[in-house]
Amino acid sequence: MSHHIVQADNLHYTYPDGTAGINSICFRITHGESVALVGANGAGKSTLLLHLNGCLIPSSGEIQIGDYPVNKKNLKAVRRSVGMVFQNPDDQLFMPTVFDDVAFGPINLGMHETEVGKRVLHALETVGAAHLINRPPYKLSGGEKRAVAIATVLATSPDILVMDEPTSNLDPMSRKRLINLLKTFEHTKIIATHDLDMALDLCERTIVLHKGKITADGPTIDLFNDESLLAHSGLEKPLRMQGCPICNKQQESQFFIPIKMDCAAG
Amino acid sequence: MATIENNLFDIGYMDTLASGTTSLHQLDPRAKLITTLMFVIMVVSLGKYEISMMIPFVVYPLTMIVSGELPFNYLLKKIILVAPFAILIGIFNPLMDREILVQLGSLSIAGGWISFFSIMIRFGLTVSAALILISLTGFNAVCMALEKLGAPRPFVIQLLFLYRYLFVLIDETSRMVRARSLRSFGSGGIHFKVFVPLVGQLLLRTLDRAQRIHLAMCCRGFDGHIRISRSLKFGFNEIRFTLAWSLLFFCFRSYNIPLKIGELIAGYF
Repeated sequence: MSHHIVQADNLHYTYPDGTAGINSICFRITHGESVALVGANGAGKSTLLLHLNGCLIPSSGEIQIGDYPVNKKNLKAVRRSVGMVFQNPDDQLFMPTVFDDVAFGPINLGMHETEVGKRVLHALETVGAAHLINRPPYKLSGGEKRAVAIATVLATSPDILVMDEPTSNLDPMSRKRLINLLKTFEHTKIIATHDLDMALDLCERTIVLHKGKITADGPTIDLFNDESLLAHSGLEKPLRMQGCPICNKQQESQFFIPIKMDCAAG
Repeated sequence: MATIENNLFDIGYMDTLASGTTSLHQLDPRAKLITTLMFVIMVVSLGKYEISMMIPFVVYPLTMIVSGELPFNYLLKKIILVAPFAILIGIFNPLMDREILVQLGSLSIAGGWISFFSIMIRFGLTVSAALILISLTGFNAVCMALEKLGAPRPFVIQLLFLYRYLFVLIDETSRMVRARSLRSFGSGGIHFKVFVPLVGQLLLRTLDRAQRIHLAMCCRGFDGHIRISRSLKFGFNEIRFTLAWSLLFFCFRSYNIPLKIGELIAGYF
């Protein structure tokens, strides 16, 4: 299953206007792994994501998706195996109707019309949006747009799902639904996010970025317990690990996470 | 910014109308497009003083509104909204063309006035036909029909994108204008000094968005061609609809029916 592996080797990228993007990035993500990419605003998360399917080509270093290094020549193969969900669904949904939008990828892959229809329906059913099939995207709610945006990517059956802030701008229920949906996916997932609670739910591994560099890479729960690391990277413990506000006042001198988590759960 | 947003919802309302279920809604968009084009050509090609020949053409929009169950007042409001453009075109005719063409007792009507009214009637007929086409078909389906009828692809795609992002652009504009007005504390209209950066900002945001959309397209295998799969069926109903109306328009165009009816009635008495 080597085609599900994502490997970055000493990636550097500087924007044409001189803004530093990312610097000395190295990691290896294997098949089926679910990885959160966290960091403050401007840490380079989105820049790194754009490298994963060749939207940006690194100034130096190499990124490899499966057997292919990401370069102009392999772009088509890379984009076929890496599905990217953008932060703003309005950028992603550009066709006149939901059907056309979800069909856009499969048609470009040269699939036959009946196969395209099947894929579109299947992808929409997976995200629970089959009833929206003939609606224009601008008439959907935020949660519906997000679901359809994910369906557009699923329709091309990628091996690796890359998402930029999938839970931003969602109401709590839509967010919960999305997390449960993502849990059911067996793809390799790379999720850039500020929603550390979601990262805790979905990703067993986390990569922390700070000023374009990786400052930590390890099991999510360990990194989120490291307060100095989080503070240094402009982050904060997930809310669930902060315990309940009432107990916190009573036990301010203590700092024992498992009890606080129980408290929050209760 | 109530007006911009209201207009936005108004445009969206046409799509709601287009999702109706009458037999006219079910027709292939191409049939409606061709019929509308025939209608517009026939109306526009009438001579500038021939008001009487235009009257029978009213049958088409009225029939469509009634059997398509469209809201008459809504369409009328839309027509009035764009009327100033037509008035602007015709308003100088009465000044330029003062030759008396009609004498009704002591009232003499100059050719300029007649051509002015003919412009207004033509405007009313053609604009209502276009609005009815969209309300019965939906903008996207009209674009599909254009494409299937051989209109250049890039043109159709531009139209589709224009329509898709019109809503996003209006949304963005109204947010910017609202942000400005909330911090301008009732100082009236937008000053030129503010207006220029506002428009510039909007352009930059648009470019930014265009770039992001292009990226999103590339990520899903865009190679310069947009393919849309859509099966349309031009059957017996469509042929009957298009032929019957076109024939009727041709009759209206070739014979001055109101005049004939007038003669008939005059001869009878």
